[in-house]
Amino acid sequence: MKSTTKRIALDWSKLFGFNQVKSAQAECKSKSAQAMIGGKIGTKTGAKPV
Amino acid sequence: MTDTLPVTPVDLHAFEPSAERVLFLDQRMRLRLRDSLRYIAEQARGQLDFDQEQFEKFLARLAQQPIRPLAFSFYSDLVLAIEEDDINKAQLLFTELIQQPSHTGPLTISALGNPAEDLTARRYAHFIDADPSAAFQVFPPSVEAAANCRAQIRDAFALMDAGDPVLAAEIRGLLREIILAAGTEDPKAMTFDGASSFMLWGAIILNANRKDGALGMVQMLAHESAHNLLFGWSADESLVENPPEALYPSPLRVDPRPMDGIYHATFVTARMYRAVRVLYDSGTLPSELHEKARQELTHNAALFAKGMGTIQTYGQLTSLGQTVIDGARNYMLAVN
Repeated sequence: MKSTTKRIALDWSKLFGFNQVKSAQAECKSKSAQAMIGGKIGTKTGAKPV
Repeated sequence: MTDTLPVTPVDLHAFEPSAERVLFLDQRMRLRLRDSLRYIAEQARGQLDFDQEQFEKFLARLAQQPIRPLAFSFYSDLVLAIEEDDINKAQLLFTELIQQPSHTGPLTISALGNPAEDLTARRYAHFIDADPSAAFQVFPPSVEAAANCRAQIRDAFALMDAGDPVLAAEIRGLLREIILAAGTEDPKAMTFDGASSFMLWGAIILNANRKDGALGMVQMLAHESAHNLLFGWSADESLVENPPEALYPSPLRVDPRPMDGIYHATFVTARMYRAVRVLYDSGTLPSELHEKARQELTHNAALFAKGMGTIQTYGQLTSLGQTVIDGARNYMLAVN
């Protein structure tokens, strides 16, 4: 699903951190973008099974 | 502190710890955030309502002093809210962001509140549990667990101050906050040891239920601070160019991970190795910890070798990524 016209236009290539996840801006759902951001630029968790 | 970047340290990407270097990295992160907020404010003119004077004062503080790590998380959520065209949410986030305090004092250690009742705790928990492929629950620690963890942190810094003061100084320079939390003890679930996030720059979250003593805590602090170091280095450029959806075997996780995660895991393993090795070689490590130190050295060396194998086989590294991992690799080759 492509983004519709937004009231505030941001070019992610100009944004700290987000300039490294350009492809995420095509997603209109923030959860997708957030997961991609978390995966790309880092939420690092030492996850393990208990 | 000035509001322009000082001269880039000559050892900016060196593997060895440096307290001076992390001051530069912190200022660079804050200046990049400042510039992005100014851009957002320009683009949002007429849509977001804010006090211009308050905004300028915040930007000035941001440029001149360390900031509370949560500021970065508000920025991240602000961008996403704008992307979703949720102006009301963006307004709330922007207003709260420019009220975030500076953090000019020493490293603080605090216990996570209840995310169900405490908005700050909910924010930390939300950013820790941001990976839908490895979801887990985050709780406030018990009073006893928090006390035990604080004691382990104290003892870990005591070991480093005696045997590896350069690393201790770097960690104190990198981090503003250590947040103590707890994971589930359900044997069927995933939990976490520690966590850090680009968008919580300067903070680390530790599972306070740890029971592996001061040397284990030295490694955990080295581990999470090394993630922050990589975040600081990658302020302007990625470390890897592999697509994030491509997954590979990880040295530190049971589940396959994106190359960026493997890169991070491999580098921090080298830093964990170094932390134990320097203490062991310093002669200051208590004798009752020597056997554990030897075991950890063997274990971390094996993990590093495994991670490097994956990186060398599948990694598409940027110039920065190659420089940084070469430093780790050269160190591990030199000491083994």
